[in-house]
Amino acid sequence: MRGNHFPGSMNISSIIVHAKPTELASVRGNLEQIPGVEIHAATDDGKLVVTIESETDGETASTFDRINVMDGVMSAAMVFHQFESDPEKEA
Amino acid sequence: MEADKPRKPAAQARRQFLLDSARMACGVGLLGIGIGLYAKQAKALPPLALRPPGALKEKDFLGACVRCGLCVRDCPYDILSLATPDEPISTGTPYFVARQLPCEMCEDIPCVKACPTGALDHQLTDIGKAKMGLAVLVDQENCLNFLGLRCDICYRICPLIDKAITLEQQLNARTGKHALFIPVVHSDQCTGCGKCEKGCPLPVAAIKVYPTELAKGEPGKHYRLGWVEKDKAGGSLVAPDVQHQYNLPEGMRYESGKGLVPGGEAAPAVPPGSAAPGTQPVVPRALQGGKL
Amino acid sequence: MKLTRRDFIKANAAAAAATVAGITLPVSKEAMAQGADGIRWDKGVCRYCGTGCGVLVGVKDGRIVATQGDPDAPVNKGLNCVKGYFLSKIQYGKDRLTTPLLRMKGGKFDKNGEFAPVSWKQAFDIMEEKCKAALKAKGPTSVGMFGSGQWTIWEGYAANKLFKAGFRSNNIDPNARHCMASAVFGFIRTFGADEPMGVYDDAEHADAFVLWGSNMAEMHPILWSRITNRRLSAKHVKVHVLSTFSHRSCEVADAELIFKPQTDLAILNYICNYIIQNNAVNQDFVSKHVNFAVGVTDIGYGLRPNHPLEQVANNNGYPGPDGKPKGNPMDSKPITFDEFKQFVSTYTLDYTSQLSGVPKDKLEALAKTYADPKTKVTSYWTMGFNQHTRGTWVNNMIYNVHLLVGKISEPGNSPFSLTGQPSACGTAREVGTFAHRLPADMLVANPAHREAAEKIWKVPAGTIVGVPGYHAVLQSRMLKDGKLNFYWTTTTNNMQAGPNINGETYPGFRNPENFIVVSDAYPTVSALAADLILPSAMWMEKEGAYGNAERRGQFWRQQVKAPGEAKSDLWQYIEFSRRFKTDEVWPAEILDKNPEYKGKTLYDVLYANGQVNKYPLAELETVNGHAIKGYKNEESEQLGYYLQMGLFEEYRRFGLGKGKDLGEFAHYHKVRGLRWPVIDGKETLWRYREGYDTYVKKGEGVRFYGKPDGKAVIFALPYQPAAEPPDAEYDLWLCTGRVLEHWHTGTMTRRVPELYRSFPDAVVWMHPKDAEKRGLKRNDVVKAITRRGEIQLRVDTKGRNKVPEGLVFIPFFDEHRLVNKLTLDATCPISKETDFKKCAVKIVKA
Repeated sequence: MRGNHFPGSMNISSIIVHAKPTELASVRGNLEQIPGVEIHAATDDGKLVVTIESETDGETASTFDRINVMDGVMSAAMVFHQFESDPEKEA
Repeated sequence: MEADKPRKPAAQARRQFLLDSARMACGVGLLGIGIGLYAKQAKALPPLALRPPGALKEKDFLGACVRCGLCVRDCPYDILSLATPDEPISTGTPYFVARQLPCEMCEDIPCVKACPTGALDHQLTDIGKAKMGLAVLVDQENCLNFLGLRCDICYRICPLIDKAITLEQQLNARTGKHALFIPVVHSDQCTGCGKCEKGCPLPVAAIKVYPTELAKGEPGKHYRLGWVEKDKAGGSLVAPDVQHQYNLPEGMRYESGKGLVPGGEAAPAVPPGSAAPGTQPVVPRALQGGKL
Repeated sequence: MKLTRRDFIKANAAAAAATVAGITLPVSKEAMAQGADGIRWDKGVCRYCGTGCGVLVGVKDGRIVATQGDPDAPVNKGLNCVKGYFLSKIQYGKDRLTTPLLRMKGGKFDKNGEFAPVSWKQAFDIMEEKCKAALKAKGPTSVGMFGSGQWTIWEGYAANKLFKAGFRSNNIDPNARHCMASAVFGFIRTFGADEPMGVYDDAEHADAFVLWGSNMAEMHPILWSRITNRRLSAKHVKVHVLSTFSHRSCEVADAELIFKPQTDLAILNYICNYIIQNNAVNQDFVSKHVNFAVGVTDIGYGLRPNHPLEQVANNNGYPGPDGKPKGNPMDSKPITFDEFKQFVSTYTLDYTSQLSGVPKDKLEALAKTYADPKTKVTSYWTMGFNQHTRGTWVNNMIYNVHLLVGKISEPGNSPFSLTGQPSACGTAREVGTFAHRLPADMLVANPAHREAAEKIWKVPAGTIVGVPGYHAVLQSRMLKDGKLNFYWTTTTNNMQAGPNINGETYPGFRNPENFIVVSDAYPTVSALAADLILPSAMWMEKEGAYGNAERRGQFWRQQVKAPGEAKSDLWQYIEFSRRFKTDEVWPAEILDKNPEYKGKTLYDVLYANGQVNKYPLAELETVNGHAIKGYKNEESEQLGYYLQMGLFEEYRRFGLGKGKDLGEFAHYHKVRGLRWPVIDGKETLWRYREGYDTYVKKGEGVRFYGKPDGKAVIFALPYQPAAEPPDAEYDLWLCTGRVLEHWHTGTMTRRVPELYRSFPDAVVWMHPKDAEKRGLKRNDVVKAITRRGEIQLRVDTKGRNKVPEGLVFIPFFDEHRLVNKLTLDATCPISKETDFKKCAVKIVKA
């Protein structure tokens, strides 16, 4: 696994996934299989708003790579990334 | 960062933006290596750099801002800048320095409208509700009003005069004959525009606008201000006292809050048969005290 | 629904992506709006000092969640000091005691065992056994109790009754003995009646304030802001501060008079001399209202009788070689005004200035302030006067000054003794919980007073013993000597607050002959040195009443339940009384004469006596329903009658018609306090003054009605040195005291993290030159050593207290640096109050 692991930290990113409209359903299904991935919205023309949660930036990157090469995905674009310690795991 | 850094011309700012955008695109490409570090480094904002109106909380703002520079482009007064890599501000993000140029508080808030991501909150439609920071009268030793002089510039220049800044009168114990007019900033009203900081006549401003998180203390939740709670409730929170009565000489009243009040209305009638005094026609000798 | 930070960021992330993609997200639900906060507010009183600030207490789900200064409380108008700001946290320290703890080995009590939890039944069983054993072996003088000015009025009253009438032991004393016994004796000796004539309103009427050994800026912060306001708002007002070191109150002072320890006695005589020499005596007032007397002087220092200083004292009242008491330190004989004039004439400006170290101009300006007939003067004092081997004298002597010029008992002219505890006046003094007192200024040594008390208490004639019991310092000595064997301390922490812990208190607690019970809410130093610890309910966990320094009685309702098994001290006394039959504690001759008392328990005769148990539970609602619907309190619920009301109404009878009239119980629950005497529901502001005080008849003007002839006494008393001045080896004065952040021994304030942090460890304040001479720098760790012990702490040469060369100051709040290991147990021989302000110490690098 690449990158630094900070126990009790959280990495949250959002990406826009552009899938082939015809394969939208299968892409959705595949995305939902990946731990930490959540789909927030989708359009008929194949755009999906997806967030990735992980404990390390390395995990985030590999998840991103995995989505990028997924069947039916034309492109995936990173929009937002936030990294900080998890307040619920502190104190 | 330096407060008095010369401003870049707009064209240069735009170029800088394109450069930063490219770097960011690169950053996405090099995701696995750099992104965590990048986000961490950008967490802190120097105290003198203020964000445009409607900016989310710093952490969230950094996440949401895509460094597009559109707010800078649309600021009619060229007040906003984009941070360059040599500044300790997240590169490519917009900011302004109040002492150089304060926010003019445009009613239509073009910078917010220009923002494509919501890093500047589109819910903000009334510039009077903006919270860019909070003015703090930092240097009470040098503030002219604290010294008893009459300056009041910060107060008078304030776009929300008598709301965001009020003058509170206090005794000038030194002269014994004058009042001090102490500028008091009210955080619920102050937008953090920075006019007061810009206007302060001292070589270095005595009043400064800081990001709200830096400027403001937090009251303990375990304690309430009795007089504020009473005002809010429109009266005492607990059952009011039954009427107090006092033993008093003729011609004296005693009121809660005021204490002993000579003259005025007669003392309350004495019930018959009571041992209380109150039948003498004149102020008793006893009241003359030391002059007995 | 609670929105976590994670949810929030995720929502943001999604929003950012959605914006870029031009997608509208479904509207997320807003976090639940906060409803009404659901807090129940009721009036209360601050738990700390004698100022008596009103607070409102906010309760939610059975817990105090917030407090606020009561904006309608006349004392503080919504303000609090920083200790009061954190009141809501004092009940919730992590180490609250929630179960009785007994020292045990092998399942049984063992003086050298470890503390282990026991039930209340086990706790009372062992107490009963030990108390009865002591009574049987040595009689009533072998049992005793130590309480405080933090007792609620009914707690102090119930305890006083239990010991003086129940166990027939007068060995009950409050820690107020350490605090204002000298003020009490000063009042009684000069006026024949305790407590100040003025009120806090004097602050708004005075033209000058004089602080004598009082750092009000830190110890009475809210009252101090009233005085500061007066000083700022009326330009002519002057403030003089007299102290042995410079402190925060000096900031507002126009004149700061730093005098050598003990020379306040000389300064007071100088002022009288000045007044007389400058024809400023108020002749009319003096001739009508004042007598003169000269007191005996050879009175010793309240040390143990074998101490060399006591051997040579001929009026200390201790047994002489013939076994008879050597005089009486209280004695005096009448003199004339001219004799008094002659007496003080030796206290010239030159002599006094040289002795005290105060510059002449400052002394003269002070004397002039008192002498000027146009200047109204209010004098405030606290521990600098009271904790003094001549504490009673120095109290008498400040009255000398006020009486000579007639500046007393009227708005702005007030000699005002402040108190350090919330109910030093209300409980310790008014209830008469001292070893020599009964309620309402009565004395155990006076047969008529005993008879009156026995009648009100409905106990047989002769029940109350006529010999005063052991006072605080004597209790420690008697514990050590094995003469006081069953000892219960409650609402106080004498192992930290009392003097000479190493020499007297600790050996007394650990004496194998003794059984020591400590009731407290927290494991104090005293509790940890005891044999049995009883967990007490505190403050708002019980219904209570305190009386502040301006004669204002203030009541509060029980707001929350105490944690675990903790019970109020009142409940503890009542329950313990059930364990004793009259036959076990009263002699046969009393019971034979009064057979109707035979076979009854002390509970029956003291509390279920038809008076204390007179008010049915329905009264709880009648009295309190306006504030809390369906109000209850734990003790009453259990006993089936309104206990506090019964105790108070019985107690109230002591003072009616005697100038000590308290209001009715129900009245107090409906007001922010009443200042006594309360006559026909009306409060009294300035006592002894016609018009304000109904006890003064028309045409009398002023009458000090505590004395049979209505005249106060001016006492001729000299300057005398302290008991243990510095010498070649112990070369510095040691003065102890408080800081604003902590209250007394810190039992409560040290449990508030914010206050703990603000002043975690005691330091020794020292003059920079004294530090330099010893090769010390600020923050160096040093040993403070006296003849009695040593402690380690850091040096401070800066900050709030600026001590002069030759004197150091150490606060006593820190249980890790027990400064009372160092102090000397010398007392005022009259009041028996310890002088915590003066002993000899040396400071060396640790």
